[in-house]
This record gives sequence, C-alpha cells and structure tokens, in this order.
Amino acid sequence: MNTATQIDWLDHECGAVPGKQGPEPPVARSAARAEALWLCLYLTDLPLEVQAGYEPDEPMVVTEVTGQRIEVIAVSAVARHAGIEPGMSQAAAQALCPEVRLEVRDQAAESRRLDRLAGWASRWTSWVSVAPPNSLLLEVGGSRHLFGGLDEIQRAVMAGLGGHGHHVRTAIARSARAASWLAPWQSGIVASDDDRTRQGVAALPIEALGLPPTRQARLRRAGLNTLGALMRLPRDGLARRYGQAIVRQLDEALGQRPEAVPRFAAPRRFTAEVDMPMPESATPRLLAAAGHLTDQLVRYLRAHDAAVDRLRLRLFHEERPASTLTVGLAMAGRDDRRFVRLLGEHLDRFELPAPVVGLRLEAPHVLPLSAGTQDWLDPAGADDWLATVERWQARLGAQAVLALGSRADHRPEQAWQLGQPGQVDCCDRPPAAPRPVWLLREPQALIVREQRPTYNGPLDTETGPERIEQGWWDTAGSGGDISRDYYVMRDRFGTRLWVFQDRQRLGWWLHGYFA
Amino acid sequence: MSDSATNSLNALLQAEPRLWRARDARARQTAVRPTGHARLDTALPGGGWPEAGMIEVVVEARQPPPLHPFLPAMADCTRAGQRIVLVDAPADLVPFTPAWQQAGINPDGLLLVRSDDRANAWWVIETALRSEACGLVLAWPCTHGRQVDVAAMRRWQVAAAAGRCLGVLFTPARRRAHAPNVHLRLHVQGDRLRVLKARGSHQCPVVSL
Repeated sequence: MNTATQIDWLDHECGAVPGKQGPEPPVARSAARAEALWLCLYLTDLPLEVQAGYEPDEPMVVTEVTGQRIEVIAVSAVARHAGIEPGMSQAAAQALCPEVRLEVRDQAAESRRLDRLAGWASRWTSWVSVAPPNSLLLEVGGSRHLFGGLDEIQRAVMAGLGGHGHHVRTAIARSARAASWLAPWQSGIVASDDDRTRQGVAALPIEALGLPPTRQARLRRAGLNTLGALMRLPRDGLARRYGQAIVRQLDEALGQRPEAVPRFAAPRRFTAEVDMPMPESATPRLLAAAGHLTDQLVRYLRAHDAAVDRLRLRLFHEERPASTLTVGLAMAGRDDRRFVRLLGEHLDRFELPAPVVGLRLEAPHVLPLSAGTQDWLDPAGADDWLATVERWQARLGAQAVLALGSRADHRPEQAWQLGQPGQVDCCDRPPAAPRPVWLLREPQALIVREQRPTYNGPLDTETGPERIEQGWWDTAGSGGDISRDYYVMRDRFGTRLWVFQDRQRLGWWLHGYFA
Repeated sequence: MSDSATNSLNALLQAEPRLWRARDARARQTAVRPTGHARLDTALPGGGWPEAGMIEVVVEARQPPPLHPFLPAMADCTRAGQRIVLVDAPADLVPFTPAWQQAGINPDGLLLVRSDDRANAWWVIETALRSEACGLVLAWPCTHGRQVDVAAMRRWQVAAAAGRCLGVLFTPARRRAHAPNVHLRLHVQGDRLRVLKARGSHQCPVVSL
C-alpha cells in the first residue's frame, strides 16, 4: 500500500491514522461554501403516500416489476409487522399477509409530489433541490437566522410535512451529499460543521452509498463495513479497486470537492377564472368575459418578462363536463388583441354543447420572452401580420401555412424546403447558373423524337449543358445520387423550360419552368 | 367642332373634376409601382402595376403560371420588408427557392397557404390583401372550381385598397373571371405579354418582355 500519496480524510478524528498528513485535497474550499448547510428531507414512504386512499394503519405494499419478478419496494408499518420486507417478491408478501393491499408503483405521481413539495419548501430557502427518487435538499445555512436557528427550521419543516401526510427523515450536514447519506440512517442529526459532518459520514454503514448489491458485498468481504473504514484507505488504491466514483462522492460529501446541486425552479403557469353572471352561449359575451382573463394574462406576462405559445380556454357548463378550446400561437407572444382575436376565431367555430357558466384561461407553458419568440417578424406591422397568419392556421390547420427555405446543395431536389414559419433555414448564396422559378415535384419524362426531347413540339436549346453530378453518399430516395446534364430550352410558345438528360438512366426529363 | 365649343368644353373639363377624357390615361391616375420591365411600364396606364388593386392573369392549359412579369415587383416587396403570400399555388409545382433568391426575393418574406375549400381560399385571399404587412398576394382562386365573380372581385378590390396591396389572380383560360371590375387582365405566353383589359385605357398593347 502506497502511504506516501495517502490523503487522510480523518485527520481530525482522534487516533484514526496518527501522524500521516497527506497533501491538500484537490479543490480548495470556496467562499460560497463557507456558510452552506444542507437539510435533507428523506420521504421514506413516498411510493405508499402517493397512492390513492393510502391509510397508514392498513397493510399495504407497493410493487415494481424488476426483470422477471414483481418485487416489493415499499411497505407500510402494519405490513412490516406482518414480516414483509422491501425486496421480497409479491407472492411472498401475499403469503405472509393475505389481506395486504397491493399497488403498482406510480413514479410519475411520486415525481409530481416531489415537485409540489419542492415548491412548498421554497418558503424556507431560495435553494431547493429535488433529489429523486424520494429526497429534497434545502440549503438552510443562509436562512437559519431568519427562522430562529436550525432546530426551529427542522422542526417546522417536519411539522409541515407531517401535515401533508408524509413520513420523513431529516439530516443537516455541510454538504448536500453528506446530508442525503445521513438522512436515511441517522434521522435528526444536525452536523452543522465540518468535523461533525466528517464524524457522521464516517459512522455510516457501507450501504449508505447506495451501490449495487454485488459491489456492496465486495466491500463487506474486504472488511469495509463503514464509510469510515473506506475513508482510511489510500485514495489511489480505493479508486483503482472500487472505482473513481466512490472517491469523488466521498470528496463531495466531505466538502473537498464542489458538488453540483441543481436548483429547483417551480414550473410557471398561469390560470385565471371568471364566472358568467348568467348562463351564456353568445360568442360576443363569452369573448368579452375572456377578454378580462387575457387582460390578466398579459399583465402577468409583462410582470414576468414572459410570453406564451399556447392558450387553453375551459368553458364550464351546468351539469355537464367542461369543454376545452386549445389555441396554438404561430409565435409565442403577449399581445392582448392577438389573444382575443384568436380566441374569437376558435369560439366562432366551436359548437357549444350547453350555455357557459364560467370560463377559465390557462397558459400551460410560460416561456421567457427571448430569442426564438419573436424572431422571424420585424416589429413594423408584425402584430397585424402575426394575427393574420394565426387566423389562417386556426381555420386551415397549422400544416396549411408554410414558409420557404433553401439549402446549399447543388442537387435541385435537395436545394429547397418547405416548413413551418420560423423553422426553415435559408442559404444566402443561390447558385449562379440559371434556375427555374417553378420546379416540378417529380421530373416528367419527355417524348424523344429524332434523339431530341419534345414538349408542345420540338424544343430549342437556349443554354447548357450544366452538369449536376453529386450525392454518391446519399442513396435514399430520388434526387440522391444523380448525374444529369441540364439545359434551358424554349418550346414553341416561348416558355422556357429546365430540361435534363439523365446520364444514369438515359432519357430526357422536364424538371422546371422559368415562367 | 368650333373653337368656342372646344373652349367651353375645356373650361368645363378643368372646372369639373368628375369629367375626364377617356383617352387620357393620366386622367384617372392611380398610384403605381414599377414593374421592373421598362417596356411594360410604358405600355401600362399610369406607368406600372397599380399600387393597390387586382390583376387577373389568364393562363393557358399546359402552361406554367407566368411569374416572370412579377418577379421584380416581388423583389421590391421583400426589400421593403413587406410580405408575399401565395394562396393555393399549383400542388405539382414547387416554388424553387434558389431561383427566387436569384431574382432578389428574400424567401423569409414568403408564405404559402393551402386551403381546403373555395370559401376558405377566398377568405384567405381577402385577409391577406387586407393585412397591411402584405405587399403582394399571388392567388389561384379557381383551384377548388368556380369562377371569380363581380362580387368577389369587388370585395378583394376593397380589401386591396385598405391594405395597400396588389393581388394577382392566376385563372385558367376556361375559367376566366366574370369580373369586368378587375384593374388589369393579362395574357402571357412565353415572353409575350398581352394586355386584355386595363382600367383607364382603351388600348390592348402587346409587350415583349
């Protein structure tokens, strides 16, 4: 064992490895970390708690299909008393407790619940992070004094989560990783300085790392039962034998390497409602009511420097399910008149099943107002134009309105493109050789008489040939690998045609008009 | 006609703006935009395409829609930041972007609209003409059958005047519009452009572009 390069994580722990000072760890502690304290909220029973109709005092397990078997992943307290453990098969659980309620894991609901709790936890700190599958991390070092100390925050958060019906374990440590390691094993620990964090981490069993079972067993066989034992090993040997990741994680936990903790940002959406004074089915009155809602929306968007690309108008009826109008915008925006005009366009074409008693306007995606939201339109007359285009899209469908683009490709079939406005590119430099204003979607075979192509009679060659030969790499479809001689020809009416002679397939083809 | 009669007629013509001489094209001067073809400019009343108004181009069967008379005006349009809309352009033909760029037209200012029926098509034409951002509308109003009638032409003319927009309708020869109220009616074959009808002029010149 090479002790010369050893770094001792436990240099403060009494008598751990005396007298061996290694070099400083790779990353200096930044000033930003000086006061950081992380509170981890570990929701032990989240898979159970998100299930509809969950009662803590009923035997219940949540299962998940892993490979060939159905495995129990969460067990309620009553079921645990009956002897059911996570990791058992569903059949074993039913054998132990026949009346157990079995539910399938709903991961989408779990992540939705975590997001909601993250939004709720934002009252304690500006830095909340969601750590799937079942933890939240709160940076409380900055706000501890505001809320009367760490114990007070921890108590209040626990009480709040209990009120939401969640069973939670907590830990406070100097790093997010240490806090998330500590919470499941040492609930309630407050390791508010580096020493106590180090001690707390050192005391953790090896399982706290969350390694795959085989690697966990390997560590156990080597006599490494706690993280403290791992930390006493020389770094390079540890990295070589058990992987660089373990070393990195330990460094992060002990604050010797900066960790990336993503900030939770609440999804922004807008809803506003208005009740009709009496049931109403006349479009102008509904539109007037909707106008109040779009007015609120525009004020909200102004305040948040944002725009929306879609609106949803819910129309509530008496004793009937609500109707929904979804309105897509050609380009994200926040112009009140545009919203009202669009809603009017859609309302006109919508057949109301019953009079409307209330309206709700929802903007599911609130986007930052930036590049891409107002691009392809210049400010002058843009609103009017945008509104016109959107009305066409509303009536004819988004596919009916297309913009033109071009590509820097010599092959005619590849040089143009059609697409949604704002989503096509244009190549700035068109070719110098003559190109027809109209291109035939499919080249049209020409009748050849006396080895000359004809179209409305014989053709006169004006210019050419121009050889277009390219695309051996592109074998898919027509217009991929081509070898053609193009001519500009004139028919007897004087129409100029773009004609080519195919050098591969032979024969003459009409490909465009210069009209 | 005696001198005194001529004098009193002239006096009347000058005093009364509602009277004009039919042969004097400038008598009903409307704002025009240059066509970009010198010979065509001199042949058209006013010296160019109407700034706002409707043109009908009669297209023979088996002929592509003749765009070349309008390419310079289209280039002017996009240069001025105005939009061009093509409504129901023939489905088997693709506006070949490189050629349009060669003609100086910025493809960013172009939009293609495809309608599903006649009513929607005519509505799109009208709204495009009325939109102030749009400088030129090229439309194929007979794609879904039915000829253009006086009433439709009148609506489009009003819309074009409101939006300061030029509308160009391409109609097949067998479905020529029954609309004498069009500004200009043209027939184009190859480089030969024949003016079939021009408001404010009795002449039907033939121009070689």
